[in-house]
Formats: sequence, C-alpha cells, structure tokens
Amino acid sequence: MLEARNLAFSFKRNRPLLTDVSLQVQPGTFTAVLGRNGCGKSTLLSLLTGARRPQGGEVLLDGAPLAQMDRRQRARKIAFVAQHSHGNRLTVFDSVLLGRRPFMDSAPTAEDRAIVAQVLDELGLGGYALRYMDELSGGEYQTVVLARAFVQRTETLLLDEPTNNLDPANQQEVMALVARQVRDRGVGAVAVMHDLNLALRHCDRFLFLKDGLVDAYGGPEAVTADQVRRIYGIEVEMIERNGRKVAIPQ
Amino acid sequence: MQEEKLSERDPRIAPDAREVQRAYGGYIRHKHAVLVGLAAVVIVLAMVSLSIGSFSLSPADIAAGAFGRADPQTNAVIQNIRLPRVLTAVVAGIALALAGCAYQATLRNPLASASTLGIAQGAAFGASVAIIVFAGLVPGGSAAYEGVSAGDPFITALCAFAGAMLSTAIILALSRFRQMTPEAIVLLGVALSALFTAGTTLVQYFAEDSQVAAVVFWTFGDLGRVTRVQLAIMAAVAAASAAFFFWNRWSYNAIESGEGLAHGLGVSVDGVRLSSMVVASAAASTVIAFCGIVNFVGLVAPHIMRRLLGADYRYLLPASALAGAAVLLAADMLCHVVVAPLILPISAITSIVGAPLFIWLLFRGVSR
Repeated sequence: MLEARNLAFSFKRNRPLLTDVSLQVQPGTFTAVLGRNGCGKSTLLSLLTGARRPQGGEVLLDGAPLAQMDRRQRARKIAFVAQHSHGNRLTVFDSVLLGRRPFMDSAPTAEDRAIVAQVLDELGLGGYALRYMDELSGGEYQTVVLARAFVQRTETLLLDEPTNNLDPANQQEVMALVARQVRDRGVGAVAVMHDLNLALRHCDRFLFLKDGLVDAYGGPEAVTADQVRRIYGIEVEMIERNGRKVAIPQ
Repeated sequence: MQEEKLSERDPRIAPDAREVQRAYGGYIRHKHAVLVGLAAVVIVLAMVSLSIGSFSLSPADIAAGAFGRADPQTNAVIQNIRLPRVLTAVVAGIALALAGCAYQATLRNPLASASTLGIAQGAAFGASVAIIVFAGLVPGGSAAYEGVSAGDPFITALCAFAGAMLSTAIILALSRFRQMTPEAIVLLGVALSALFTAGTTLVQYFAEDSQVAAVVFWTFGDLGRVTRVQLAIMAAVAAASAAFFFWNRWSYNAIESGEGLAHGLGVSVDGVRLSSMVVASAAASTVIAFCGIVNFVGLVAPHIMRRLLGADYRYLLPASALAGAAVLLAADMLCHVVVAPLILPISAITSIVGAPLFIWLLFRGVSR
C-alpha cells in the first residue's frame, strides 16, 4: 500500500505549494485528486512516484520509505501515466513492451512479450500491435498508454489527467478501463482530474487540494455543493441519478 | 469451449494474443533482415572501395592482398593504403552515426549531432590552436608545415580532442547548473558553435598563410591520414560506445516516449542523458581529432534509418551505425573517383551528399 504522510513541497523558498498532505492508497480503491489549476495536484503525484522528493513528510510503500528504494524497485510497484507523452515511431507493441522495462535484465523475455500480447488483446488493441504510435487517434493513443501501465502489473497506478484532450466517449472508456483494473485486480489507483462528474462516476475516493492542504478527503459524501464552491468558486446542484451523485452547474 | 482451447495450449495466453505475438515475431524478423541487408551493403561498398583506385583489383586480389599473399605491389596497396582507409571509413562512420543517434535520443531533438552541438567546431578550434599557437613550441614544428602539412599530428589530434570535449563540458556544466531543457541544450550548442568558430577565425587572423593553410587542410578531413594506432584507438572507442549505447537502448526508447514516462519506468533520465552525451562526445571527438571534420554523417544516418525502421533504438542504433559506415564509404569513393587522381576533401563530399538528403528528409517530414 502507498501512503503519504504530511507531505510538504515548494518550488520557490517562500511560496509553499504543498504544506501538509496525507493520503492512503488502499488496494481496490480509485481516488480522484481534485483542485484548481496550479494547486499542486501533479506535484503531489510526482512525490508519490518518487520523481520528486518531499521537503517535509514521507512517502511509504508497503511500510518502507519510498526514498530508500531504487528506481527499478519503485517502478515494479508503482505505474505512472504521465500527463504528457509523445507519439513516435515506436510500434504499439514495442511501446507497451516498455512497461516491462523495470523487470528486464537486458532484453524482454518470452513472458514479457506474452504479458504485452495478453493485455493488448484484453484492451481490444491486438489489431493495432504493429501500428506506429504517431498514427493513432487520441483515444487509441491513451488506451495504449494505459496498456503500458497495466503490463507493469503493479499494485498502485498513478494517473496525471488521463482523460486530457479526449472526447467524452473516450474519457468514459479510459476511466472504465482503470476502474476495471481496480475492481478486478485490486489495484489502488489515484488520478488527477478536472471533470467532477467523470470522477463521481468512476472513483470511490475524493481528495480536494486547496492552499497546500487537503481540504476534504473521503467517499462520495465528501463531494458537496459547498465543497465545490469552496474549491472552484462555482455554484452547482448535487443530484442523485441511478444511485450516483451528479454535479449540475447552476 | 474457449477455456478448453486455452488450457490445451498456454493458459496464460488467449488465442488472439498468440496471433499478436506471431505477427510481432514476423515484424522482428523483418527488422533483422533489414540489418543483414545493410551489413551486406557495407561489405559490398567496402569491396568496391578496395577495388577502385589508380589500378583496379579483383575481389580475389583484394583477399590475397589483405593476407599478404598477392604480389608485393598489391600487398602494399591493400595493406598500407586502401584497407586502412576503408576500415577508417567504416569505424568513423559507425562512431559518428552512433554518437548522432545517441544525441538525438537523449536530447529528443532531430537536429542534435556533433556538428550542431558545437563539438566539431570545438575540435576545429583545438586543432587551430595546436597548429598555429603550439606549432612553434614543437621542436622542428613551426615552419615545417610545408604549406599544408601539420607539424605534430599527435598534438593536433590531442588539442582537437580537448577542444571537442571542452565544448561538451561547457554544454553539460551549464545544462546541469541551470537544469536546462533538451531544447535549450541544443540552442546552447548552436551558441557554442558560433563562439568556437569565432575563436578559430581570430586565431587564423593572426597566423601566417602557411599555418592557415594547414588549419584549412586539417578541417577538410582526410580518412587517409589515420595511422594504424589511431585506427585501433578509434575502433576501441567506437566499440565501447556502441556497447554503452546498446545497453541503454530501452532507456532511449523510454526517454523518446516522454520524460515523465521514463521516470515512471525507473529510468534516470538525467543520468542517462549526461552519460550518453559524454560517451557520444568522446566517440565523435576521437574521430574528428584523427580524421578532421566529417560533416553530416552523424545527423543524416540516424534520420535515414528512422524513416526506414522507425524509432526503436534496438534497431535504430545498429542500423544507423551501418548507414554511417555506408555513407562514409560512398563519400570516400566519390572523393577518389570524381576528379581522379586528385582526392577531394571528405568533409565537402559528405556535406554535398548529406545536405540534399537532409533537405529531402525535411520535405518528407523530419518527425518521422
């Protein structure tokens, strides 16, 4: 289990971005990290992945300090879907095979290739295996990016705005794929998000960041009209539809 | 029914996944076939290069001459002139192309090469200083250029290497100090190119005509002036750099797909970038120090192969190395046949061949 305790971080000395942030990524949960642009959501993810070191507090992975683990060890336990990645002249198969890099000695094994083929098939990407990444549509591309994270077979999955620039159908598709990993494989997932209703539909934990602190953290009950006003300064009406909360802008 | 089929084969793999693996296996075999084809092209070019010259030799003569079993004249021509030159072209082409490939991978910039990062210009500055400033300090050196020949080739090569590595050191130090982006690093290289070119111009301005001629001759590049010891050094550096780059092939694939992704996959992006730039610069600097300026090979060879084979560094690295060897062999042959018996400067020919090729690649879409 991934756990953050009292994290503090700032890029500039007198301007703290995160002052005291704690969270637990329990297996089988899907947490949405919400907040205004620039509030430190992506920075929080980078602290959770170990790409940045917190200036206060610590990140623990299965009870051990993340900072003391080497990069490959971390990558075997935590998969990260970055906000920005590049379409290039790698085939879909090779691009997904990259996800097995933390497990490779010098070259992929037959097992690595089998896992990639299996995940591509599960995600309906078998027919795309030999297409180049820069030939894919936005939705196809993001599905491949998720496939790359899935073949890491990690217990924790961190996603930085995974539905950026996708149409509504692909947004639902991508979130449903992550939710399936959470449900079927017991993965603990954390996604930085902007779409409140998308988060309400697929996530079961919600963490609101404001002024470097956790403003609210909990299940769907934490998402209220008051909370949305506090964070975003907009008025919404929260209604129940098919047993789920939905935010209607006023 | 479906489950029965699965358990009969491999329980982990669904039949469709097997199809995916089979298709991928075919794709990999195609890549290997392209590499074998490229190696064959290099061998054919090398044989042609060995056979042409002031007197033609058959493949049988070449084989006999290489092992010292032909007539004395053929033995001498093959062993002392043509074979060292051809081997130099192959080794230099491999080293420059690999260095260019590594620069382009780690800086994620298609324009990165020893020429555009100021490394070649640093070498030219170092060679100018050696020929013009230090020549007077070498016993019997100063006026011994006889118009165009450098006084002490060892000192010239050493200073050229030092100049190239100085350029690399400045780039790396500034980029580490300011945490520069790959784009800024390339721009820094462009600025350093201008700085070293200006330095070379100033050194030449205060030199005598014969010294300027010696510098110009050095920058022309010449595969024929490399000694056996220098060739052995170049080959050792090229082999070591090839092993290093190939070891990092998956890291390059990850970095080219995005730095955030690479971090997430356990790649030390800064570490790989720093070490790759040092190794690439050492390889390119060694070649430039011994052969003089050889333009465009490091830039064009990876681009051609990127279009042919994609951006998978498992194949792009060896393919670029072979393409670099082929381009340099072809350019060297052109140098010898266009206005025979005169030998044209290799730096001009690689540019004449490389520049139109590069422009063509730009028009076809350089991002691919």
